[in-house]
Amino acid sequence: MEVTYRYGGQSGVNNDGDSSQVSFSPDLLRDPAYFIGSISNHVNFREAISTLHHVVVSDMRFKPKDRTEYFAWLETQKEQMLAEAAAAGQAANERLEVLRKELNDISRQQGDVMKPFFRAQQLYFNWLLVRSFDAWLVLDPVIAVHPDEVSFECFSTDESTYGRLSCDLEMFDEVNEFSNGVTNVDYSWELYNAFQQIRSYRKTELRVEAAGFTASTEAGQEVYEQKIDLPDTWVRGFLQVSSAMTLPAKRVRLHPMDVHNLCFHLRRRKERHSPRSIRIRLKPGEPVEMLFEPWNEVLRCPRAEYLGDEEAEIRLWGRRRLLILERLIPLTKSFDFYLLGTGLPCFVIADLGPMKFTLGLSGWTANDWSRAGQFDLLAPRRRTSSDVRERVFNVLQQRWLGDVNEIAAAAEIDRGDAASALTMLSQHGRVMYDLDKGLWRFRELTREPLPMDQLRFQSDQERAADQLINKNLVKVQSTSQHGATGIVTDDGRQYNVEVVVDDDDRLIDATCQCYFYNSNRLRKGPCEHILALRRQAASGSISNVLKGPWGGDA
Amino acid sequence: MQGPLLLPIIEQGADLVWKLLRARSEPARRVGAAALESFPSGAFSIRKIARLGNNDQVAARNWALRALDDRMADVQRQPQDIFTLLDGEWDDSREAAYQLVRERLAAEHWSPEAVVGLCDCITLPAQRFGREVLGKVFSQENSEFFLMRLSEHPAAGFRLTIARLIREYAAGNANRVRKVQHALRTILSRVFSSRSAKEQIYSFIDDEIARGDLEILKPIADVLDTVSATCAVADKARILGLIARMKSRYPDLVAHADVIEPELRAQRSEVA
Repeated sequence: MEVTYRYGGQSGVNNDGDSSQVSFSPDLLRDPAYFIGSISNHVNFREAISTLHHVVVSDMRFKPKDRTEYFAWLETQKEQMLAEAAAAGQAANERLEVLRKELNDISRQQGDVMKPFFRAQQLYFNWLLVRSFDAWLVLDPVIAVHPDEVSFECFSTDESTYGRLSCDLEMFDEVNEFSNGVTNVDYSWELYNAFQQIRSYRKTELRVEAAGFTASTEAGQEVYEQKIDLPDTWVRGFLQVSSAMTLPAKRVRLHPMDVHNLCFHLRRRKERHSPRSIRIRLKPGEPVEMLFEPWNEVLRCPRAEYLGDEEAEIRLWGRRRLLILERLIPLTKSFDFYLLGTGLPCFVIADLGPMKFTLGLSGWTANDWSRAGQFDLLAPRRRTSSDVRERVFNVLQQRWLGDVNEIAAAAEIDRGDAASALTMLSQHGRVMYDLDKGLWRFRELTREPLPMDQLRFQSDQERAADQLINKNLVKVQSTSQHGATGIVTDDGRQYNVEVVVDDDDRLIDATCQCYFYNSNRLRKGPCEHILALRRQAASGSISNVLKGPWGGDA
Repeated sequence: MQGPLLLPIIEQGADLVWKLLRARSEPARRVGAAALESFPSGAFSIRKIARLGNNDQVAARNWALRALDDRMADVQRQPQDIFTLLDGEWDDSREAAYQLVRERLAAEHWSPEAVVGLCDCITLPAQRFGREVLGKVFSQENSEFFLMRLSEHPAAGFRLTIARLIREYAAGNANRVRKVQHALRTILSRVFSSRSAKEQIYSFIDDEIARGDLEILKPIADVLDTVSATCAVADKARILGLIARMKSRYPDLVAHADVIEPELRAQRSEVA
């Protein structure tokens, strides 16, 4: 899907001796939203907004080594290798030895000559990264100005990490201009640099500029449009993670040094083989324990007692994303971990006093078919009529925020209907659930409504698998730590299906008897029957999680 | 573009050339750089000249350096005006500017505010240069000013400088220690980094415990209480040692910690 922004100038910083203004340029195509206020807690704001930047640029996808040069070199060696093989006799070998030495010398000289070039080339690429930062950004961050707070929201390039920084209005010394609204803002590397210069001895003003909405282009104001081809996978990932906040979760409050120790374990070693998860062990009334695989090191968190009723063990993958929190350790009073279940998104809320930083992590860093399909996260949990949804949306649009009871009362509908409608609206990116305050907030991700039919599933196979599960046509025969077998009935036929997963719960092999599988094996991804069995048999299935307050029984 | 073709642009004045050099289009900037050659160094303010030194047109950068050389007296009065250039992204003009400043600016031209401003720059070369200038102008009189301001610096390269400043100039002063509490916490909670800075802070705390001023030890005890939960063996041993010493004098400090004396074992002969 294509998204268009129109910015009145670029975001930037004006340094004026002892004061500086951080100006965000909002999207002029959206309803006006502006805010001007002086920051009071400078250092904490700097660290928190810088952490948000680390979310924006976070990309932990596997990047294969660039071996082009090696293969080019290998090509030049081919003839020599052939010559070596064909060479017969002492004389030829001696001649070969001399030539090889000569060639090595030339290669070395070539390396010396080319070294500055390669270094300069690398510097150029680094410069390009900073210069054309827009090209690396998928969607510009969203700023929401609400009656009680100003928040910044973003999602990482690798489609797996969600970040939100909310600043209560008490954090600002003086608020000069204020208009509730939601808008995208122009973001650049210069802004990050400007954040690094925030100090308590320099008055810093945060400005979401209102001028852009009022000034006309004829007056000489620079207006530029930006068209972004937003990948469906990115929007789907964002919606999956942000809508997962509405699900019930197990909550654990960790001491800042527990997060320090977690980072310490991750930084100390590099995992070279699977499994690569953290097993978080929760026992009622006992300190939380974390087991780091594959080394099986246990980290006890003596200051973090689990207050839940049920014993549980939850596995988290993509754990290096938690290193994003490192910068917040000295400032944070506590880190609240919200754990939905194994392979499901998890959330961490850092308490910075008047600011809260929310880090949301999808189940895995890679969002491909080899991982457990997360398509249930966007599944409608309870049907509501479009009229109810419209009423709930209008109420929230007028009030900007509220809890379910308030919204239900204002919309004059049943509480359960209101909860379901809100959940569905959050799945569509039109409202969001504030996990920290337990409130629903009006926040439209994009100006135009998102095409949910297109976004719901990654492929036709996922859509078909969802239908098979909904119609109860999947029968699991056996499950084990490394897979499951079962029978899937489709179109009157029964297929014997088997899936095999590795230690990281990654689908590594599967068999089915259908035409799609026989034609393609796994080259085009798994068939709907394999996906359906996988989903049905997945341990810690989302269906268990959905039985909560916002789920089917809402 | 050369010669008479540039004349209409030059006649329009410095404002147009400035706009051309700041344009998004590369050919416009090229025309601006060509026209710039005809202007004297006084046509632009020092701040603008410094920004021209960051232009992607090499001709504009060279012109800016020549202009700065001409107007060094203005730079000496207000070195802050050229920080854009000292913190710039173009190696050639930046290095040339450092050279110029090193040769032509003496210690008395640098006010403490200017030095802090230089240290607050973003690029590593500018920060390195900031530390170099800091070494030249630092004195006992302005120590508090530098300590308070630099303790908020977020760059890793400044942690050791901050730790040294704390050790030397926050010692024995409760007010200063309270103000740098955040810096103490930041340095001690780094993961796998800032070893030397941590050592400086541990020595500072060691000295303060020996001094025994309760008002100073209170904020330090808060920090130790938090960071003592580390799982890094070397740090934990050091911190627990400090807490034990602190509690031997003031048992109420570090509320989470209790000192338990090891059991004395009976000697072999007594057992027999």
